[in-house]
Amino acid sequence: MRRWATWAIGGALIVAAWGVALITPPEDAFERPFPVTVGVGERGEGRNIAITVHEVRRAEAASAGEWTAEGNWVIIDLDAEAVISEFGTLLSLATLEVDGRTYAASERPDSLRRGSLSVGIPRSGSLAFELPDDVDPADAVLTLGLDSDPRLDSLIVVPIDLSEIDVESDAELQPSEWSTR
Amino acid sequence: MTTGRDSSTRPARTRFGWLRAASDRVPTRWFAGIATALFLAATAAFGGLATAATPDITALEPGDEHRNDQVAMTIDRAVLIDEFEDAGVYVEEGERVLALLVSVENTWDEPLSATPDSSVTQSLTVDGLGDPPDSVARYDDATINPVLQPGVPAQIVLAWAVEADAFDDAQELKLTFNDMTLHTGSFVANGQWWTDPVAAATVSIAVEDIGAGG
Repeated sequence: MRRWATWAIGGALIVAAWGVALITPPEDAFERPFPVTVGVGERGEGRNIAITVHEVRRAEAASAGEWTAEGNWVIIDLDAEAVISEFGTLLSLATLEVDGRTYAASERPDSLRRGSLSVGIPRSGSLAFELPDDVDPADAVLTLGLDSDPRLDSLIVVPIDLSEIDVESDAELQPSEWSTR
Repeated sequence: MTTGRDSSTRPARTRFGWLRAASDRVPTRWFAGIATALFLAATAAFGGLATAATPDITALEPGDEHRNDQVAMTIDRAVLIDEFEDAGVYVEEGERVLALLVSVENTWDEPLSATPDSSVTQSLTVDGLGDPPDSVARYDDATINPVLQPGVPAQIVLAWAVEADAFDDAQELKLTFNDMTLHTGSFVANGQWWTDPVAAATVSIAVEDIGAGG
């Protein structure tokens, strides 16, 4: 074989190997969740979860019934429903990601956290997130799903700009009830 | 026949002759010496054969905070009380409650669940109480098994049901703060969790016997 042919084939093989390495999916690709990204006010529908975030509020104190607590609260008012099955459909995954930190929906007030979802009849209510006092959040990402393990199921992802929202002195969580919207 | 053997080995010798010539140049008799020198150099680089220093266990004053990459903890109070159902612990006949009031802050970037058998309770061991607490609750609104949000401080109560005569008023309680290691699951496990507690600091606090409550 001619010398130039040897070099050309060798080079082509290196480029091919680089290309294969480039397009190989990462190790966790086979178990990634299926995110459905929607904005505030839009309905996001996944495999067995449909969410509409109606309003995002911020407050220096949150209350629900007799419970009340001061803090840096972000309160999400939303409608949530199941799509194909009511069996074991709880709103188990509710996180807010701000500046690389992940906050879970607070278990302190009564809220839609771990609420049971029905097919076709949305539940309406709130989720409360407690942030540190010294955090002035801007870009946040709300993630909602049916299983605390997010792999291989739909996630409703809602990006929120928290810097545009005025901070109230007190905000009451909406009671969890059948939606009338 | 010798001539026959020569003719069969000669082609092999010419084919791999260059390999033989190359390997003859490798100074094999120096390998043992080179390996020994590398071993000694590596040993010296890692601090020689001296005993590795064990991590110091800091003795903290009461009220001092112990902070690591997982949680920051301060022991506020240790009380002995007849019963403390708000903290989620129920006593039987002949038992009282030993409760620790602890200020905690999650210093990690994910929520930490503070259940009796969680990485948060494993971060604290009490001499004389081998078991994890019977209950963990928030001090302000009595939420059982609270979730510690990143950077949000909280006061929690760790409560044990103990034999009524196991602890006395003003008895010094020795507590150990443990540092945990963040473990990332792989292969069949998924996610990250804190594990492997190692003692990092100690603190003593006097138990207050507050009788029926107060």
